[in-house]
Amino acid sequence: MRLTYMSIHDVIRWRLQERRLFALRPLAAGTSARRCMLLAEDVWSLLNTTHEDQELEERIGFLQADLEVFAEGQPIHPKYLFLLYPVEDAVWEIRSVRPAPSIRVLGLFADKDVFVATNYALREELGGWQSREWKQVKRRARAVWSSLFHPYPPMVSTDVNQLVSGAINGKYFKERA
Amino acid sequence: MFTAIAEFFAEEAEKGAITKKTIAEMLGKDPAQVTRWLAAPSNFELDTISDLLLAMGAEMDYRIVRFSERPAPNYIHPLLVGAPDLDDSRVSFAVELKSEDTKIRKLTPEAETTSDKKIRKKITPEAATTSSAELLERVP
Repeated sequence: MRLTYMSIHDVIRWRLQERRLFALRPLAAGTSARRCMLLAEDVWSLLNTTHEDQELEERIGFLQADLEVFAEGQPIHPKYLFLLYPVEDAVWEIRSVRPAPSIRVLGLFADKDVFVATNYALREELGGWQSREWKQVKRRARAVWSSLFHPYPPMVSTDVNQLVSGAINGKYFKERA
Repeated sequence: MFTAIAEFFAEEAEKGAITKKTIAEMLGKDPAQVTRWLAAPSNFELDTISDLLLAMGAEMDYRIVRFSERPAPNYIHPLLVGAPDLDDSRVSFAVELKSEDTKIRKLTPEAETTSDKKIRKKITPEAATTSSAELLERVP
């Protein structure tokens, strides 16, 4: 019997072919996907569902533009990307703040510059950092990760430079007692 | 910063225009100090940079560049090479339609059922506004 080692990159390619993951490609002319932003079905559906509410459509457009910031390789700032508590869960949030309502896209890093956006939530529905809602969305992020990549773990690091190229110096996580 | 200075020194030294010894003499420094400066990155003070470059007959030009004005990269993340994109989705959707041709029969927007439209929307917004006939034309 011949055993073949499969890297997480192979799994990602497989999931892309299966359409369980979707690559976000920047839409603006002259841009390219310098970093890899992969969307799980929840996030993909949100971006690609046509809504009758014009305001919602526009808001989702802004969300897509915010996600493209990562994909385009633009500089990353702690106001944009933040590591959620607890650090060992390795769940990060991308903050799409404007226009209201503020949206949080949760995800984990499969590799440096490879972010898997697992799920999203409206900030106003999440409450304080210890709330049940926050725990639920973080648990959901981990669950989506497991369903896609088990047994591969996400990258765990508090050093943003190990996970993203072009990150501006700053505080990307908060120590909690 | 260090790379720019070290590269400039290397170019000038290759031309025979300058040596570390002459720089040291011009600055009144120990040649070993100049060697250390040019050997590895360190926390240069602006004065040091200015002195070093002055000794080489040059000066630093400062320019602030907006992130938005930086040229766009012309490469793609290796994981995305060959990955399906929206165009592929449209084609596969059209193939799906073709295989269900017997059900749809007439490929006109009027003949489409509500579920067809739902599928379109699910796949891509472009597909939602493109007629089946147009999609089928794109199938190789």
